[in-house]
Amino acid sequence: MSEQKMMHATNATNLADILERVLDKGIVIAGDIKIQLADVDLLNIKIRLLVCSVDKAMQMGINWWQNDAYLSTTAKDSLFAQENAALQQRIERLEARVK
Amino acid sequence: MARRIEPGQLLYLYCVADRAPDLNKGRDGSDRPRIIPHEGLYAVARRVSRSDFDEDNLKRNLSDLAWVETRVIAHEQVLEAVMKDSCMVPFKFATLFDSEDNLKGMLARNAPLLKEALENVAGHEEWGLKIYCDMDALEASLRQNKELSELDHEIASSSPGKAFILKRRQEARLRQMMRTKLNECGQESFDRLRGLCSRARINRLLPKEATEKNEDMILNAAFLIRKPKVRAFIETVAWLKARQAESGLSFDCTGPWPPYNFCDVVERTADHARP
Repeated sequence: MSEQKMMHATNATNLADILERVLDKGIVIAGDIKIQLADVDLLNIKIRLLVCSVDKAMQMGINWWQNDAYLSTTAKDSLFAQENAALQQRIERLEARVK
Repeated sequence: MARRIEPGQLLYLYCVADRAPDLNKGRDGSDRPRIIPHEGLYAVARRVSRSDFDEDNLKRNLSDLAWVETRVIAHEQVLEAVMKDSCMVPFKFATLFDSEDNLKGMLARNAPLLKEALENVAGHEEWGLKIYCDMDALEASLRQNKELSELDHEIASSSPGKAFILKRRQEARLRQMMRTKLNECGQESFDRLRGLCSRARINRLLPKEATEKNEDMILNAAFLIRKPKVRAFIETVAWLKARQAESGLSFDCTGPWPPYNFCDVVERTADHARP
């Protein structure tokens, strides 16, 4: 990995990085500023424009080291679904034997 | 060039620098950024149209992704040009003033705070690290683990009932190993890099819709690094990356950035590294 390769350029591949920083970070000073979007979560504007998944971002973003991001509700659901299907098959097999 | 802004215009503040940057390279026209000096501070601002940035118009324009992207990229380009010559404090997108006097008033009132913010980032660069995980690849690499493959053999030679229980145990163990791996990777990477930096912060994870990647983001961190230590930082990232090869983890390291993440003078006490 060369230093040169990691330098960012203002191009499309870094658009998410740029949006995150420009919309979400930077100093905010109160006073006689005409307009400042301090209270607006600008990064979420970008997300909302694409898909309404702000809740997921919030959910994943809080304390990732404590948060079980992988075992999200959907992953749990699919595990339960697999387990359910396996149990069904097993019941069918047992019923077939009893008959 | 007119020093007053016209009735149909607002003054958009990009950043405040510690010395006057040279912004004339490769630019012309009246819309190029201007430097407004005030008692050792140099505000970099541009006149913008009220039809773009007045409060009502801005709200409308913010729902237009193409409009937002164009302005956001222009904002970043101005900051990058300033960064070449000066140390600076970036302002949040769309910080607008009615007049040059108002802007100078803000500079005067906040001069100690701005100077402190400038001192904090002087001689530093901001770098970012995002770690992504291809969950399928990670799962595949962990399935080759000895413990799990031994369970495979046991499952194959067990009765259906026992095999079912063992299969469940194997799946649960796999999920647990995946969680452990992700947490260790995120934690280790952050801790090692933090040791090289003056300040570090963890930002919230962004969903795939924002990153437009197929992988899940598992770490989003920013680092403020003394310039002589940047090389060591980059080498450490490369070392971490090499260690995680073939486990579905990818490292996206970018920089140098304007110090967006490290100019929160007021909220400095709220700066969170890790609980």
